[in-house]
Amino acid sequence: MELIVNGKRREVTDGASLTVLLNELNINPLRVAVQLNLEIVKRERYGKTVLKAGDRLEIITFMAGGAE
Amino acid sequence: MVYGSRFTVDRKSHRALARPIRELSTVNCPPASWGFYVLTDRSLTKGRPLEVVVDAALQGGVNAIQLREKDLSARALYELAQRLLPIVHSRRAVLLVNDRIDLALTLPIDGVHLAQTSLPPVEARRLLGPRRLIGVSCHTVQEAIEAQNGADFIVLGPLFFTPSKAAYGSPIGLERLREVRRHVRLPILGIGGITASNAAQVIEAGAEGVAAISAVMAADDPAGAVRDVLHAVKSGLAVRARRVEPL
Amino acid sequence: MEKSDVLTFAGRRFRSRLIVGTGKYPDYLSMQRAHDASGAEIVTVAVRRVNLDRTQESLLDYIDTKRYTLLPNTAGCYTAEEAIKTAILAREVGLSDLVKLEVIGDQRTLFPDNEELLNATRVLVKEGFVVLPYTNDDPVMAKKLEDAGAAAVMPLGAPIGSGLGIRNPYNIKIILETARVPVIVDAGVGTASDAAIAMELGCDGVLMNTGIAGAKDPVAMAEAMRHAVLAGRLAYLAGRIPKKLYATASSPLEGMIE
Repeated sequence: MELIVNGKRREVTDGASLTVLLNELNINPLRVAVQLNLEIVKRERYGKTVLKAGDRLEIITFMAGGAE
Repeated sequence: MVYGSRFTVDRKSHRALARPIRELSTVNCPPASWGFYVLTDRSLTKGRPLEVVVDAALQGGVNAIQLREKDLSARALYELAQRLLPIVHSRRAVLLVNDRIDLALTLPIDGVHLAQTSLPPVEARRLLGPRRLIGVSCHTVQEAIEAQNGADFIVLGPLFFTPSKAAYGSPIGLERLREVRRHVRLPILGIGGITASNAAQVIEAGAEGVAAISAVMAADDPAGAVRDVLHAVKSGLAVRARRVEPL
Repeated sequence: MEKSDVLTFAGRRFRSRLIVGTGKYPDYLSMQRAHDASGAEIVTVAVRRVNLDRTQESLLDYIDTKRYTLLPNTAGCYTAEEAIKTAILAREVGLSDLVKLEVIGDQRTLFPDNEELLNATRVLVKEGFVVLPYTNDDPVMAKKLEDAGAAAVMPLGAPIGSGLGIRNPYNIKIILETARVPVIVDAGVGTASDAAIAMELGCDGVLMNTGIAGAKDPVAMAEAMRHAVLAGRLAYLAGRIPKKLYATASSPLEGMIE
């Protein structure tokens, strides 16, 4: 199914959970915050959160930077 | 909430981190603005009832009274405080009580003044909540730094020699006041031998105000004594305002 | 200097009064070495989308979170709403409950939009954040932010990245007189003396990024800043001599050879 992750379209296994997606993206769940369709998903729910086609995900972390 | 209605926040995960926003019990009367903080001592009033002397001091313009009387029992202090509260509050001043946090919890007293032998200010703050005033008596830089955790202001002294405070050790002097001023952010009131002739120096050395006992309690004209000290405090503040610290 | 001369806010204590950033370094390794040389204990980070191209290294690989306290900033936010959302997301990462609140009002100067900043501060304080707002050198604004519950106030010395130093020490001095929370100068520090001047004024700390990251030798500059902040603080606590127009002889006038 197709999702939008960080503004870009992405193909993901049907019925994948957030944990599966983060694994596929090689992202450490302990270093990110995830927003699914404008709602924050608590880390303990990553495994239980099943993604649907058209879901918009923002995966946020800390990057280098200050004022821009 | 300002942010979008579909943006939810799971409140259960929020740890209790909020620092209490300290509003003073009388918002119009913060310690930095008092100028003069008068401590009671009914043994010095030369026979006059304490209420009379306190009322005269308030007429002279003082904004804050500390009910001390350390020899009184809780009951006697409770009854005295009950008599003083309407007198102090009718003149829009504040009443603090020395050491007795329990009294501050039972009566609408504006705050508590702690000594180094009282409960620590952080405990007093926990008991009294964010709205009451907490003052702490300090003699050293270290005590002043520690008082910042919970207190709204400190009283520093004894600055000059005074019979009332002879038991508290030799005068610490104005240089200590300047040092404390460099280390802490809280309003500082200088105590110990304060008179109208030295109050201005204390302000110029960095204090926001002064505190005294005998200068008012033993005065024949407490209102006049208060006026004189407040006048000196005002000149001290004016000198400080004109002085631009070297940068 | 008292052993207890530490920077404290929101119940945390820090020995270093220098806060550094992570942006504009030539590479992560020099950033890491600069952080080490600076002696800083708090490091600011931006909150951004993860880079899905996994060939890039991750910032957090170069910051030991056991050694440094992370201070997420809301850089790039122009409204209270954006800043609040960013702060909430930052906290969700789970590595910090502090937020350096920046709400920018103008793209060229990067001066803060104080109205939005104050609104965001109030909301975030209510939500339990430890809020450190980046503001200008207006004492009235600083007081409002403090009353709103900010854990410290951070007046700018000069525009971000401008390196102009402390442009209005008089205003900052006034803020220092009335603030009951730590005052940390943020932005505008260009070289070591700027940091020392801020500390000599009586500031509780200095936050800088470009001053170090943009220097020709960031690691050396980081070390310079470490010394500057220490020197300024010691000088402030030591109580300097007053400024006078004329000389005051140091040697006695008696016993002169005739």
